Amino acid sequence: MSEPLLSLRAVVKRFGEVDAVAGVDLDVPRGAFLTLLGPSGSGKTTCLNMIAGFERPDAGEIVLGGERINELPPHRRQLNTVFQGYALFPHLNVGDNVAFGLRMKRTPKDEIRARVAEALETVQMAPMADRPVDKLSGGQQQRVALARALVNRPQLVLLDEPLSALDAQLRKSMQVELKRIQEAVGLTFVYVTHDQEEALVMSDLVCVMNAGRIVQLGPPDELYHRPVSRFVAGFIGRNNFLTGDLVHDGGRVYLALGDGVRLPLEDAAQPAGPVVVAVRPERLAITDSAADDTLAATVRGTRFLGDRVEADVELECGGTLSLFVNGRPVEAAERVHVRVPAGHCSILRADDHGRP
Amino acid sequence: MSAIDHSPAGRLSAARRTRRAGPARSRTLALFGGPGAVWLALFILIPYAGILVFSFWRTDFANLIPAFTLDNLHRALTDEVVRNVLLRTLWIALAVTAVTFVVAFPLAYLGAFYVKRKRLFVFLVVAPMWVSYIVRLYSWRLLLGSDGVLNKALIGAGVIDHPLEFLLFSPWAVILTLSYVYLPFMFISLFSVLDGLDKSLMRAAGDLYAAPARRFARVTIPLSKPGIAAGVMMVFPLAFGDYIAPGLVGGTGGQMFANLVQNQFGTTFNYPFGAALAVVLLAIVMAVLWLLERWRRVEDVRVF
Repeated sequence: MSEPLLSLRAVVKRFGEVDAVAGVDLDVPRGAFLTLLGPSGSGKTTCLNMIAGFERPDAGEIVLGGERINELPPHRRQLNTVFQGYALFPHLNVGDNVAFGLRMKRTPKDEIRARVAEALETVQMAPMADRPVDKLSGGQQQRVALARALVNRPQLVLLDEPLSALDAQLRKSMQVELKRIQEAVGLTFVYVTHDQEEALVMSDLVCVMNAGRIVQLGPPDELYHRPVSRFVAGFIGRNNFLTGDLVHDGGRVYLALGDGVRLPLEDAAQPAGPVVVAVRPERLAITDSAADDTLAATVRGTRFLGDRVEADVELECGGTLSLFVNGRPVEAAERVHVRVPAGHCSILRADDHGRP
Repeated sequence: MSAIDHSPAGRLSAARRTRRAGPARSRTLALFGGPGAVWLALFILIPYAGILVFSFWRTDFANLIPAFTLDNLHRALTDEVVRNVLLRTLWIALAVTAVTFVVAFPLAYLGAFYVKRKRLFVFLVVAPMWVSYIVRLYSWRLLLGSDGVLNKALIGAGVIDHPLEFLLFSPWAVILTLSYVYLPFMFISLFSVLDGLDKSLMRAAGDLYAAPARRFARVTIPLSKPGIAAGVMMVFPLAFGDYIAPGLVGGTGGQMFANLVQNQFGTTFNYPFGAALAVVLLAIVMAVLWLLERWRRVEDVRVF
């Protein structure tokens, strides 16, 4: 693999007593759409601010394009930011907002005009160049903010929860649009969000953060299907958790639940002991007959979600599961068997506290 | 029955009520705007109209004679003494405006961006305003006089042999004292705007390659225009029309335009000429305010 465009090495940032970022190592490949995903206070925005130069790390180093940039002030970093509230200059119109960076770099006037027009074209705002920015809708301001960053052709574009101010519908279409633009211009994006769905839809790589640390880094499908911790399993998508003891018996591995119930699992390499098993609702199925890999349960209730029906079931050995009903309909209080496919179970340590 | 109607019909009528019907709206306008309008008419429009009318009258010694003559205005615009005082007043007022701006802007910037205890900071800067204007002017006389604190200190320190006479009773003394007196006005205007600036705009400018000095010139200053305009709008007319400070610390070489006006009304009883001078004064202030408003509206850069 070629050298990463951006690297964070053992980066630490403290605010008073709190370690906002507690030792982060991260490589961002050139041309990637990488999302820093985490709940508020996880350190993702602090990471972004350090990359942009608004905060200085207390330890570690930040390397952009092979050059250490820890001490470089923001205006000398070859990157641009799309801010959470857009931060468009109210005294300038759309075109002049977009032209700001080029003007600061003393780019020739003709080139400024051409590149601003091109950038506005990219975000489909070309006819709005002479509008005042305070007359634009949220989505349009969003596009101008993006154009203002792209027009400089930076090595790296940082986006700080840029869609959080938009309504749900617009947010969905802007997700697709952002990804399209990123692919079209071929720039590297580092995107911060707390919305896991947003992260899954747009990213090539998702970096899940919690309590100032990286919990897991990988492509969206890997995070979804193979979470390394209970935190990731619970934060990304919906999940069911079964708590029990991992036991080995005759070369096979089982999850021992209450009442002597044993559920076969696949990963024989795991050491015995208390574990949490995560399994997605869409992987569970209701069957009529008991088998090795089924658990006896009682239906507590069902919900109609339009494209499917969701059911909550109470396990006889203790605990509840949510699953999607795709065979015959079920009714509340009905006794059923739930198949838990061993191949789709993630075995996680019981006490990981959010760390892998 | 509940006092608040939550039914759809109730909500609808509530919505209609907030979109006030015509008569209710004009009643509110009359109630809230009325006193102000009466005040304006009684104490500003009518007296100003009176001044304008007087400026066309004649005098026969101390007697006012209604007439329509442009002699007073002509004299106000051509008399050499008047013109000299006018030019001096203009540059004193501009100097006072400039000094207050140069001192107040860094203070306001500091207060808005760096000071944690903002209210205390503002209080400290504005506090001198709570002491009477006259008392403060006399204090400056004590400081600047030939037998004053400053001269004594300088002589005591061996810096000078004789008291510096230009410290008091000179245009410099007028500029100094007026700047001191009007500084809080400029400060408050600038502070309120700078404190309200969206700090993320400063970050955005830095992010878009603007070094601190250019960020200041291209973002901070343009966005502070309303505050600068408001400050100048208060300080310039106040300084231009002041006659107490020049009287107390200006000496003969520090007399200002309003002193001329005062003399016409208070000493020589030439009301029409005094009125003509007042009209000139008002016209100049209005012209400066108009220029200021135009400057405030100028777009920063316009390529698109």
